[in-house]
Amino acid sequence: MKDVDEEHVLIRRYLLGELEEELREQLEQRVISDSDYKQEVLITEGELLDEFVSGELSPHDRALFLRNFLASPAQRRKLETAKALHAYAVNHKSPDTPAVVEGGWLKSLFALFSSRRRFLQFAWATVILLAVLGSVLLIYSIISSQRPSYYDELVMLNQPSSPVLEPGSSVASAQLSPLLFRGNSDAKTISVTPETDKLQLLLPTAAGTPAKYRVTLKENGGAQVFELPDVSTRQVGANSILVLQIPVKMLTANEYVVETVENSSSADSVTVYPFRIQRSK
Amino acid sequence: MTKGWEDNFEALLAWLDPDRERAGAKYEEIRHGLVNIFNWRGCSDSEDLADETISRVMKKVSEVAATYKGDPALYFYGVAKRLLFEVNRRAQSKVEKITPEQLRDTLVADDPDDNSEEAYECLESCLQKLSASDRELILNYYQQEQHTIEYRRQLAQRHGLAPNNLRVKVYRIRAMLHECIQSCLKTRTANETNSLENHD
Repeated sequence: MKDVDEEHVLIRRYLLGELEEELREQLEQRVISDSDYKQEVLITEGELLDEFVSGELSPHDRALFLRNFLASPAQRRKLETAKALHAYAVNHKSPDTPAVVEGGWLKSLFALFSSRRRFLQFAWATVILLAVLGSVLLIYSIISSQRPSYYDELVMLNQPSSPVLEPGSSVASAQLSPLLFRGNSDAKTISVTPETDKLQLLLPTAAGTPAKYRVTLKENGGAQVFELPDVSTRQVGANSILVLQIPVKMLTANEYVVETVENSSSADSVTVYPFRIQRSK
Repeated sequence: MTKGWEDNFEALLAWLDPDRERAGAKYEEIRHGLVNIFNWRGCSDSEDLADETISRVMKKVSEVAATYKGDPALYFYGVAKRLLFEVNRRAQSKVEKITPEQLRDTLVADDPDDNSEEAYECLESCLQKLSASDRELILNYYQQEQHTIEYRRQLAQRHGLAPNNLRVKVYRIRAMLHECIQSCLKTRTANETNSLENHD
């Protein structure tokens, strides 16, 4: 089983373009001489496409997928098929789609709702609904009492008129490179100290002229930290570049990616900038 | 096609397998593998590169076949690798420095291959070509938002399949749909071109 898992990981790394040349050649030799193995690679490729479309890929894998996996037109056509299948399945979701039933308490719960005693079903459904609503309200009130101060600060920092900050003890500033080409996958490490309260990221864009972008910050695990729908480029020297200023309170020692999409562009091209936060004393 | 080409092709088939039918199947298998490898290496003209590889092997087959030991497919791979090296070298010599304009093109150019809406419409007709059970299976497979192991196990059970056979089955249905969608898109493009020409 371990071998199967390792093989699966190896194939994924190959498809994402992060395998060393020697291993890559070994894998390709198996593809060309063993049709079962080729089929396994093609199956894994399909699963990778599904994970990309349903947003299950980690930011790291997503960046590699965009940069390497989709490099050829044939691969992009495969993505079209996967997108169409997902969209169709969502639009035609039938009520008899089997639900996931796991063992233990979930199985018991399912059994309860399979009961023919309508009153019992209704009573339990009401209790669960109230409990869920209560939990949602509680979580919402906790989040809304904490989040706005950071988020409001974030929005203030990223106004078109906000100044570009000078790096210093309270401001960490770094220029990030977009993930565009093979061999460029290292995330930049940015050190922050207890005195640092703002992180300023300079994101060079392809547009030479002022433009507006949707900017999303995600953790390495895929969780979204925030999204700013309308960030304007700012003038830094002779260049018009995207400047993102983040309250450090919103970040932990972790790997992140910034994803940007130009608002006026008709193509949904995402540019990805990876970085890593390191806490130092 | 010349007599020389035909002779080389016959020699190639004979090298792959003494049985002509099995040799034909092996030839297709190798070509399919080459196309995929070129795709995964990011080449934009994988079909042409696979054909060029085969053509180079064909020219050498009379010299190689008698003495070569091992799976002929690996010889094809060696030739493909050399071709890839040449292609990369040519590409490198053309692009010495990436200009901001090129960078912009890479980032935001409208992808001429982006046919999402058309692909969706083609998919609707392609799904009708599947058997009812295959259609149900593929839709159920995609109707689960998170592709959990447990969900797949249940789906396999529901369709009387072992879990790994479900992966294979889904792959085959998806491959069939992909071929059907691509052929549908090509037909649409051809029809549009014809109607434009008639209009002119």
